[in-house]
Amino acid sequence: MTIPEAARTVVAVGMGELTLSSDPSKILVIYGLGSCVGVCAYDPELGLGGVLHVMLPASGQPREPLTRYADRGVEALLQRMEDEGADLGRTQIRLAGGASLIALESNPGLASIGDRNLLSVRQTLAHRGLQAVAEHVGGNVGRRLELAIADGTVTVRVVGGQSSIL
Amino acid sequence: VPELELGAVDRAVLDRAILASLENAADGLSQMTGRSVRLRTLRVAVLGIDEIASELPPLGEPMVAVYLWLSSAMPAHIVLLLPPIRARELVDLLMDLPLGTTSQLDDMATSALGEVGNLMGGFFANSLSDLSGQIATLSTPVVIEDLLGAVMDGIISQLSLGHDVALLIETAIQQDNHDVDGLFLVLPDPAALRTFIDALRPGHV
Repeated sequence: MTIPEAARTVVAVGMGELTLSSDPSKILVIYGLGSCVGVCAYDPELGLGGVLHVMLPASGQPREPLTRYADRGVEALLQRMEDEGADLGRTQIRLAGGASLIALESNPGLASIGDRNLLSVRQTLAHRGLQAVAEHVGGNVGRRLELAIADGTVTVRVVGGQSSIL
Repeated sequence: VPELELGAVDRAVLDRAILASLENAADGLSQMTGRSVRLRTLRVAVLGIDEIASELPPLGEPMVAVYLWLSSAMPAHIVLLLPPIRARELVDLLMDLPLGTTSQLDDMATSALGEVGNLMGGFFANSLSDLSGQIATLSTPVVIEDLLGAVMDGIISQLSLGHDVALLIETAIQQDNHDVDGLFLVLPDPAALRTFIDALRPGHV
């Protein structure tokens, strides 16, 4: 479905947030992903998509919003997709982020958040028998992520680089 | 925000320490550039972790960041943020080049910016150390040019580990009495803030 540029509405998905939409005019966007991971889910039959902005790997001492954690967040994303009628068997999942922009020996926890976020997202997906169909992850670069609800296109842009379709 | 509630005395102690530290950091930068540099405090605020991102410039904007980790009785993230054009102007200033000369942040430019962060962070840390009597060690600077959101998300995520609120110290950089669109942020580890404030109190032993 082609939506005129002027009719598109950009919806920012903030840190720890989960946003779903079936409105084809909507573009769900995460503006700056570093160690955070953006998880996109899209059911092409329903035209339903969701974006989760994961901050931390697991919910050891959970604090609201629970969707900030990879394990709780991915579960919530999948549950919300199913609640809206999505078939997870045909739902396409794509991941971006999980970078390590600041690598310091004196603060190793900061450097490893990205890797741990990715691991936790993949493990949680695997528990449901799912895996991402495409990823743009790791390294030491930030990313902008977009999910177009109209057709499920996921676009990743790196500073100073070209956009790529996941 | 019960876990970081600051009373009037706490605020006075903290404000005094921060002001002295920022003046020290500005002096360092003035000496380095040969220009009058001041750090104007925009805010010292206890914010919800989830509010921090929305209080910064737009997260999708490219930014040059110099990051340092302060290991001390009050571990803290120290971040100097400059719009890309301002960062390049600062490099020109530091290297005594005509404004507009630096287009790419090569190794030399990155090193110069790292020194700025190092110096500002060092003066800030030394001042805190003098006031609190606690040893403060600064990491080597990490210079990054990327989306602001990408620079800050790991820091905010780490602050949120076990905490709902954090202290944000935000200052504008002024050169020759003009703001230069730069921010100097200090984000202490929320778990250590109480220890730190107690150490700063007059008569503390």
